Amino acid sequence: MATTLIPGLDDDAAYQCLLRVTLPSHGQMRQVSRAWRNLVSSAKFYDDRSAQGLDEEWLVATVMLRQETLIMAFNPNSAKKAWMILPSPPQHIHGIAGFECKALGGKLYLLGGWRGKKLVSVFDSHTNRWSAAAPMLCPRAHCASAAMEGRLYVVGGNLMGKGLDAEVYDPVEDRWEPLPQSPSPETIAFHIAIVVDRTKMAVFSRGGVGATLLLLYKDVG
Amino acid sequence: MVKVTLKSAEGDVFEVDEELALESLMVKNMIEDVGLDSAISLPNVSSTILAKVIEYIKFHMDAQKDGSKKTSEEIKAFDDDFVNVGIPTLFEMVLASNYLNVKSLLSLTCNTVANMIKTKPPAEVKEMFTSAKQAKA
Repeated sequence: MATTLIPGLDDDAAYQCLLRVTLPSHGQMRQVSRAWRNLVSSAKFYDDRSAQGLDEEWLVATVMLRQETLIMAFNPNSAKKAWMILPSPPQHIHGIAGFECKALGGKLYLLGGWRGKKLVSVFDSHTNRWSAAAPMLCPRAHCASAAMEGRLYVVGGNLMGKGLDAEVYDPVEDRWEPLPQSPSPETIAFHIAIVVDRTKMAVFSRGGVGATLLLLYKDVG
Repeated sequence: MVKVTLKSAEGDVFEVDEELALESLMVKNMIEDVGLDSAISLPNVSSTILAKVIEYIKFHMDAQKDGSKKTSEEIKAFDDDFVNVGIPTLFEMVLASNYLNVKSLLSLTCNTVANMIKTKPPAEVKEMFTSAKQAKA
């Protein structure tokens, strides 16, 4: 079992089969053989899944249960209609309130929070683990975020109450960069950001009757 | 209708419509390279499996034609039945569809193997594939 992926199949054909095993079973695949473990740990495996249109879309929710943050995921296309619980996020870093959670490129980012401040944690769906990413430029709680053009934008919730209002994260460089200061005189929090036309981020106030458009970031960075 | 002659590993000859033969990208490339004058030799595919591949392509081509009365349930039933075979035969179909480069059949057969992996605990997966190898040997 060490030399071939599946006895009875050449590696090319076996690879085609293994590419089609869905994400929740990758943990089990690790236990079958060293060759399979190496496979599901490699970036190429997931690139090839994407290239063949075999990657999966998951709905992710952050849930607070008895003072504990849980991150749950659901695959709407799976035959098994069940939520699964992801490995626990680093609660000692982000606490239970004020952090923002956003998905980008097969990863989940947990940003700031009242306890987390500048800190950022990232969950890699391929390795099934949490690790630290570069911290934001300013501490934030209840900020809004949007994933756009392969980068992560955050706005508002600045705990310093001044300075940078919005910044952008480049996952390839693992680096944050400031965005132009927003025209809003006060720091904002508890807002919602959505992506419009794939290249614009609109920031709305939350609550009240209807939503008010506050800011529109266009073709930034 | 132009015919294409395919020759299996055992040397058996299958005459099929060109339209059907072109569903295999590998055969398509061969036809572009060497033309239609001589039989296309497929030394990696046995007669049994080649007959099954042809049956599969033919069914799906007919099902896609205008005026086909096949419902999506019937198509699914055909596919389910088609891959409802032992692991040795299933593996031969995976190998043949990969070699012949028939995308839809590769997808169907590989998904069947992937489903076996998904629905069984690791020890059983190991066991399943090891016994498949012994059965073949």
